Amino acid sequence: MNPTLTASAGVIAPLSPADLEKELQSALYEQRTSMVEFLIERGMFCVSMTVVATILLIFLFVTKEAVPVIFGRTDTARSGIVMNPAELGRMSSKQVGEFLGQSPSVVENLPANTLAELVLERNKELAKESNPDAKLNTTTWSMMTLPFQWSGDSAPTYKWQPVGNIEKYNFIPLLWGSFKVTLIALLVATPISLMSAIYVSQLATERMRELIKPSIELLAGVPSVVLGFLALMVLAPGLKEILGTHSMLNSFVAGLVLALAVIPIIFTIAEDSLSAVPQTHRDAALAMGAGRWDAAIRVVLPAAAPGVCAAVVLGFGRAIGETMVVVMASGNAADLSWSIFDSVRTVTAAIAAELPESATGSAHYQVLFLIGSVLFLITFFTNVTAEYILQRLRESLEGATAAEDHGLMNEGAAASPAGASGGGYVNTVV
Amino acid sequence: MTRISVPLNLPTGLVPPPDKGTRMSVRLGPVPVDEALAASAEQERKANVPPILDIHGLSLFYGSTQALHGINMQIPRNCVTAFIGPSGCGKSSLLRCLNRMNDFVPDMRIAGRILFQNQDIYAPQINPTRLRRYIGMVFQRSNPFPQSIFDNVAFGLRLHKMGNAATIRDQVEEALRKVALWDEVKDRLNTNALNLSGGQQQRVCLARAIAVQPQVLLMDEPASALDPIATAKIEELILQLREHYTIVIVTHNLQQAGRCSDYTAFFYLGHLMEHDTTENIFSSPREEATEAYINGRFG
Amino acid sequence: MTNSAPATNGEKASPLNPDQSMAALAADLHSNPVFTRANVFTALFAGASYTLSGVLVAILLFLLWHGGRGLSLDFIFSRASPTSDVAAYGTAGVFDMLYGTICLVALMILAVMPVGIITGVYLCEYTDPKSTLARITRSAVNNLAGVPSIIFGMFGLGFFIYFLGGSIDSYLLGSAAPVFKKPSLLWAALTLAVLTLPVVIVSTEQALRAVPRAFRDAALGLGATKAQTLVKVVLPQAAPGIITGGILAVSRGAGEVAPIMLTGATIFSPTLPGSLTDKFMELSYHIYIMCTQPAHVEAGRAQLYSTVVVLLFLTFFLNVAAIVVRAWARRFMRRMSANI
Repeated sequence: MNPTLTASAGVIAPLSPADLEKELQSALYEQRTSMVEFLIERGMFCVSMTVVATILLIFLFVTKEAVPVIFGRTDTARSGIVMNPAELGRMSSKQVGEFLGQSPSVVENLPANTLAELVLERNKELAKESNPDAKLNTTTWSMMTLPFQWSGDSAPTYKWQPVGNIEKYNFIPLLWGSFKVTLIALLVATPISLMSAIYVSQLATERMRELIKPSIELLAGVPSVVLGFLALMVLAPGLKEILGTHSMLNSFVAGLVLALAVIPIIFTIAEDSLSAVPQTHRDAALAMGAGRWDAAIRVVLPAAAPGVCAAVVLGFGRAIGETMVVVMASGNAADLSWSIFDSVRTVTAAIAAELPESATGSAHYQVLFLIGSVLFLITFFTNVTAEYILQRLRESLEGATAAEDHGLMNEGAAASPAGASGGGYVNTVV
Repeated sequence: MTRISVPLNLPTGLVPPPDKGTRMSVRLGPVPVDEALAASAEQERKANVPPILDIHGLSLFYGSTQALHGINMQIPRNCVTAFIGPSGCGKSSLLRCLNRMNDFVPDMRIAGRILFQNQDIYAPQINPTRLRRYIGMVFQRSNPFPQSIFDNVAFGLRLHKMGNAATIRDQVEEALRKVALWDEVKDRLNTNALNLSGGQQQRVCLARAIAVQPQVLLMDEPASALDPIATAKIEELILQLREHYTIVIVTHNLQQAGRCSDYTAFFYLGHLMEHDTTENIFSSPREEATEAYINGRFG
Repeated sequence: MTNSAPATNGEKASPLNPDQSMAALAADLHSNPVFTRANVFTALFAGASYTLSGVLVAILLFLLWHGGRGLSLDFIFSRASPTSDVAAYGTAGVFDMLYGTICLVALMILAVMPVGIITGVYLCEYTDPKSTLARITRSAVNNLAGVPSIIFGMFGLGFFIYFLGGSIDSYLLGSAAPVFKKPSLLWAALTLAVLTLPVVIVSTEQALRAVPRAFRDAALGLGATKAQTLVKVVLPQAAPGIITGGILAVSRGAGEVAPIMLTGATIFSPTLPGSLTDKFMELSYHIYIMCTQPAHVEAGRAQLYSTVVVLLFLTFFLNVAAIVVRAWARRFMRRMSANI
């Protein structure tokens, strides 16, 4: 026996059973640490819940600003409102401000007689208003979504003209623009990113993979304002030279650059799903004489198909929500047109370009928040769908139980005589 | 975790283990002569000591699967008890119940009770983290922290505030001496423990576990990932540590159970088939299944 | 397989006699056609990948080439001039924008890291991944990552400025003039913090998952509580991964325009932001303004390119750094779990 061991063996005297029992009776029931643990956990729970709350708050506060227009309580009709200067004292500065088209603080700082004069002027202006459209409330749901024949027009049209004599808030052209640009972006981005994903995850050599994968993922690190800048300064003039298009900034340019913003998303998720297909599937195909290409297309791709779909769905969500590229490169004309070389205005571009300039609480402001909520709902359902698909895929690919996760399967790994010297050990080394 | 109460089963008495000298032994290294003499007296003393762990009607469920079926057994103080059985028989699960490491498995439910020195460790007021200071554990794969050897062994001491900087140094040295590692590492206590060999790492883990002076040491196949020489060292340590600790060891290696345990419990499909002195289990098992397993007919 | 003819070229497989079979086998084993469908498609797919990598490299080189020339310490440390002041285009710098961006991002990180790390830790360490709570939280995180950035801007405007700022002004300060109820550095930073929250949460979670379970078991087995295990064993090992998340958040936040244009960025301000309630100039917003409302396109071009390069250093190259740190951390983890 090791002499050092016997020498030191007596240092720790084992407790007698009675002593031990006495010690345990106090030690094991010590609750302070449990209480601290409990409080820590509760605290962390509350912080985590703020994330869930945030999603709700985003929807709530974006929709909140649009509530009057959603429930038809906003009215832009002007004929009926004529203000009596004598009643000024009884009106809030906000009401007067709205009538005059000024902010309440400006109204408050004006002397009473100037204010009365301004109100008279405004009354005269309104009386002169000959356009019958001025009597219309342009913020009803039908005016915002259905075509309308404006006076002077020959046919009903969809019009988004929030600034001008008559404010027109039909947001169908904006949705059309968003979908058009998104579609162009997806048509460009989907094939090329899926091809790259298959190549990188299945066909490329280890070295190539190490090189290409990060460089495609890094495309996501280029800020969208820089992409927009490139579209505006480089691509658009270049394409106009080559194609001779009518407008320099159009949905094609925007879609093309938007594709660059979407590619990393589609690529990353598709590549992840393809790589998550167990190696054994591929090995089985290879062992039967299939080439890497056949194994990739016939075995791995079908197994990862849901993930690839989810990648495209998420790409859609990203593209429709992208702001800076489209606001800089799409031309911002809210027209309904089929040509991909016409300018468009998307939902995001409208919000980004118009919200900073709209008066808080005005009809324009409310309608912008309304289309913001619509956009939020679109992306929300897109995300939920993609997540559902990915969740299903993950479950079908793993199927691990809780007990396995917690290392209770070690037993199984080491059970067979061959694995007795640590099956799990080998797995981690390889 | 939910808990179902079941009435107390009366423990079945255990036959005291035979004298150590006559124990079926494939022990490594020479057996000192005086040890054999002292052993019989000590044996007598042990037979009268109440068990340190007393398991009553313990059933364990992971979700809808039942991993243990009404286990009743007593684990005697200052002895080595080996759990053997084919894989999936629940021996590791039972081991993890003994210091409530199973608490971390979601969907785990337990019925029955485990008494540790007459304290029901699944009683609601029990603080499981305090329990684990008294019932330590060594895992299948050595898992030293990516810190220095010294910090590894001192981890538990600092955690439980067992002493100041100076006494911790002594305690670390003592723990390392107990696992026969002191001479090997005393000049490089500040190097990363992950740079040691597999066997040394496992001994660091052992030292880390005994540094906090637990009453019981649970070992979950402590040598299964080690080479034969390192395994022999661990077994030798188990035999020495028995003097001060109650040791429960799960093993797949029947020779190992035979070499270093006093009692052996054989599990099969979540049932405790047989629990007796190691010699009885190996030489004259009462159950057919035990005999089949011992003779390598299954598992 | 030995007694069937090669079926790769669409010929029907038929049994052969042993002699023919040997010859056919030899021929098949040695045939190595170049223009098979598989090879052509592989080449096509490879081409797509190289093109994408090439696009990135081309963008970077193009920008560095055009913008690098105008870069100098002078440019970085000179004060900005109003975009309408064409005469000052040659001498104006980006100091104000850089200062604003750094303040913004620093505040953002202060806000996002604690919340993000705690949520990531809670998700990974305290919840069963299959529980409803974990599913809902994870789903919220994923959804937050997919919300368009302009919506964050609207949220910042509606929630932070009008609701929170308005409440502070009327209930705490009781002032008539808006102090908090207006776009400012504070609200812009908080808006960006919400936007970058998923980045930090996901990075934290991944970093924690990469820490082998054996370390947790070891600490718990010694009687450490969950929190002690976390602080003493798990978090130190996950730190590189968590820091990566922080860097990624900075890189993301510094490049965003849409949220801050509604919540605090300004086209021009003669002074640097001195307090949380000041408006500020910001690099990416400045690029947007110079692109869309230039006083003089050609005169501003060189300055614009240089500004873009400065922004790229704050976003793209930080991203590269994050990926390098992550790769290093991952390799370190792998080595560690192989050792134990």
